[in-house]
Amino acid sequence: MAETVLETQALRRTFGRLVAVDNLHLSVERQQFFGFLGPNGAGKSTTIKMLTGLLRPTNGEIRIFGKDFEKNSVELKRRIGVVPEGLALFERLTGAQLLNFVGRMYGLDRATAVRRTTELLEFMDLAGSADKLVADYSHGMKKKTALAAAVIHGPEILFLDEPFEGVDAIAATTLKRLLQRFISHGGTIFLTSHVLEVVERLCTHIGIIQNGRLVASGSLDELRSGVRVAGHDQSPLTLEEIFLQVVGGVKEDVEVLSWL
Amino acid sequence: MNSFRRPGREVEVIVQVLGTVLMGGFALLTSTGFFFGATAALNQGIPWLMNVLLWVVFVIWQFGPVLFEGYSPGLSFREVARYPIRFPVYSFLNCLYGLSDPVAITCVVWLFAMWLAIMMQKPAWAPLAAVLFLIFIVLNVLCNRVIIGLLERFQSTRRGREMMIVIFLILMLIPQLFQFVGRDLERAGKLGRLKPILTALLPVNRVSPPGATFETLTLSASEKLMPLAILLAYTAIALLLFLRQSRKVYQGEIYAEGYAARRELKVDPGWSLPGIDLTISAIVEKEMRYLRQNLRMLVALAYPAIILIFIVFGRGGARQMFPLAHSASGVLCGFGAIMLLGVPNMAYNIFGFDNEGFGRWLLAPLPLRKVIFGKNLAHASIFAGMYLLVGMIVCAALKVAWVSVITITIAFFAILVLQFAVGNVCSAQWPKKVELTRMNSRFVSTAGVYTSLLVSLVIGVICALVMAASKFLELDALPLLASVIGAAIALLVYHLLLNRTVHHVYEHLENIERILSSLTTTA
Repeated sequence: MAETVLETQALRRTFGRLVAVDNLHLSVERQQFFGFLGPNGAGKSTTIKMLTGLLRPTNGEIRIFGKDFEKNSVELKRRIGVVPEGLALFERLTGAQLLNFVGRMYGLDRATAVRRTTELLEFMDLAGSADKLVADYSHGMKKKTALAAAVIHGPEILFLDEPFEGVDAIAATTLKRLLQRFISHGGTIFLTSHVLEVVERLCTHIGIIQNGRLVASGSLDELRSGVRVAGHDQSPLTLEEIFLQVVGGVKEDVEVLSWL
Repeated sequence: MNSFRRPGREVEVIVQVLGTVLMGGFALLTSTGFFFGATAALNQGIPWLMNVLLWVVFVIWQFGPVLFEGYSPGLSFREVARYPIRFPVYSFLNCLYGLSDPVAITCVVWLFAMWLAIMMQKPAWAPLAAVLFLIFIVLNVLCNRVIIGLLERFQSTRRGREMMIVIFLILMLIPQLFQFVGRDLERAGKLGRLKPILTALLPVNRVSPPGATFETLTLSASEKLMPLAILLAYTAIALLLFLRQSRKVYQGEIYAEGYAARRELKVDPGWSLPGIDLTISAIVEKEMRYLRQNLRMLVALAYPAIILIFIVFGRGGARQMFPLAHSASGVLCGFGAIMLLGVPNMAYNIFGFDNEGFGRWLLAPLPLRKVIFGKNLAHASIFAGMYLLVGMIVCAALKVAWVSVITITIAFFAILVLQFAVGNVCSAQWPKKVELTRMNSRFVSTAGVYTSLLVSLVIGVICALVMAASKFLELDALPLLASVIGAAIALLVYHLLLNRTVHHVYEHLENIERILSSLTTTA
C-alpha cells in the first residue's frame, strides 16, 4: 500500500464570518501528482497556505509524513518545497544570491548550495541574468526562480500555487519537465492551477474544492466514472467537463452583455 | 471612504486629513509672509526683496512637486493618453493636472498675496503685475511638467528611481552643511568672501525667469522691453519643449526597464562569519546586501558622521549648534545620541524591506526567533561598527577620558539593545511595506515613529536624571554603574520581548503578510 504523505482532518479556516475552508479531508500518497482545483475564491490558496505554514488553521489537523505539522513544523519544512501565491522572493538579491541564500536556509553547506544554485540557474535558463536583482526580472523569470528556490534543498513534497500563471510556453515546458522528473524520482506534488488542460495532462489525482468544501476527489478515471453529463456521447469526459459539472457549470440562461 | 475598509487604516486616514488641513494652514500662513514681504519691498525701499520672493516661488514650484512626489497628484499623466481625447485636450488637461498639485496651488496663493500687496502699495502697477504673474504661472506650470517628464524618463529604471531619491536627499542635506560652513566663516570673520560670488550671480539673475519678471515690473517703461522679451522667450521655449514631450507620450512612447544579459555565471559561496551559525551568517549577509541596495538608508546612516566631522574638525560653527559638543566627552555622547536616533529606521520595521519576501521566512525550516535575532544582529552591528569606528577617531582627536568612554559606550549598547527589543514588537504590531522608489515611503509606520519617540524620550529623561543625581550627590561612578545596570536590564527586556514578538507574528501571520505584500502603499 502506498504511503500517505499528506493528510488533513476536518481542516477549517475562517476570516471573521467568512468560512474560507470548511471540514477539509484530504489524502495524498507518495508519487501522486495531485491537482487541486476550484473556482476563484473557492479556498485553494487558503488551503495551500495552511499546508505550508503561511497561515494557521482555525481548526483541524495537518499531518505530513504522518507527523503533526504544527508540532513538527521546523523538521517538516525541511522536507517540503513551496512556490506560494506571491512567490515570496527577496527581490533585492540577485537570482544567484537568492538561490544560494535559500539553500543555506535549508541547511545546505556552502559548496552544495553553490553547486545546486549553478545547476538550477543553467537549467532554468537564468544563468545570463544570475547577477541581476530579482526585482528586475520578468514575471516568468520570477516564477522560475521561485520554483528553483522550492527544489534547491531536495524536498519530498512540492506545493505549487498556480505555477503556470503568467509563464510563457517555453518556460512552462521547462517547468513541466522539472516536475515530471521530480515525480519519477519519488517526489509528490500538490498543485493548484486554473489551467485545466495542464492539470489534465500532468496530474494523476484531482481534488475539486468549492465554497471551502471538497466536492470531488480521486483519480481522473474515478472522477469520470462518478460524473454523468446529460446528452454526452461515449467519448471520455474532459477535465473541463467534469469540473463544470461538479462546480455547477456556466449559467446558460444569463444574457451575454447586451451591447456585444 | 474606501480607505476605512482596511483594518487599522482609520488612524492613517485621519492623519492624512489632518496633514491636508495643516498644509492648507501652512499655505495661508506663508502667504501672509509673502504679502508683508512684498509690502516691505515696495514701502521700505528694498525692491530686491520682491525678486527674492519670486525666486522662492520659482524654486519651490519646480522642485516641490518632485520632492513631495507621493503627496502630489501631478507626477504621472501618461495613463490619460489611453482615453479617446485629442492632443490639444490632452496637453491642456496635462497642464491643469500640474496646476492642481498642492505645491503649485500654494505657489499661486503666494503670487496672489504679492499681487494684493502691489495693488495696495502701488495700484498703478497692479494691471501689469497681474499680466506678468499670469505669464509667470504659465511658465512655471510648463517648466514643471517638462521637468517631471524628464524625471519620468530617468526614473523608468528601478536604479534611476532610487538614484533620484538619493540625489534629492543629498540636496536636502546641503543647506545644513552650508549653515555649518557659514557659521565657520562668520566666526573667522570671512563672510565678506561670499560677496564676490553673490555679485557674480547678479547678471544670471537678470536673465532668469524670476529676475526678468521682477525687472519688467520695476524698471522704467523704456527699460521694460528687454526683460519682458526674455520672460516671453522663456515661456515660448517651455511651451515648445512641453508640446514636443507631450506629443511623444501621447503617441505612445514608453520608457521600459531594460538591461543587457551577461553570460558568465559565477555563484558566490556567501558568508561564513566566525563563531556564528551558518544560517544566521546567511541572514546577516542577506540583510547587509539589502542595506547596500538601500541608498536612502546609507545616506541617513552617513549623516551623523558628516555632522561629527564638522563638529570635530570645523572652526566651531557646528559646535555652536549642538550644546553637548562643548566638551570632548559631550561630542562622543552627542554622536552616540544622534546615531541612536537613527536606529528606529532599521529596528522598528524589520520586515518592511522584505516585502513579499516575508513569506520566505515562514517557509524556511527555522524558528522565527532565530530569523529576528539574525536580522537584529546585522542591523545592530552596523550601528555598533559605526559608533566604534567614529568613536575611536573622536577619542583620538579630542582625548576623551577613559571612564567617560567606557560609560558612554556601555550606555550606547544598552540603549541600542533596548531600541531593538521595542523595535521587534513594533515590527510585528505595525508592519509597513517600504518602497525605496518612492520618496515619501517612510521606513517605519506612523505608530512605530511615535513609539520610538516615546522610548527615546523616556531614555533621555533617565539619562538626564542619572547625570543630575551624579552631579548633585557628587557620585562620579554613578553614570558607569547605571550604564552597567541598564545594559543588564536591556538584555533581559530583549529576551522577553523577542518571545512576545514571535508569538505576535504567528498570531497575525496573514495580516502581516497582507500588509507587506500589498501592491500599493501609503506613507
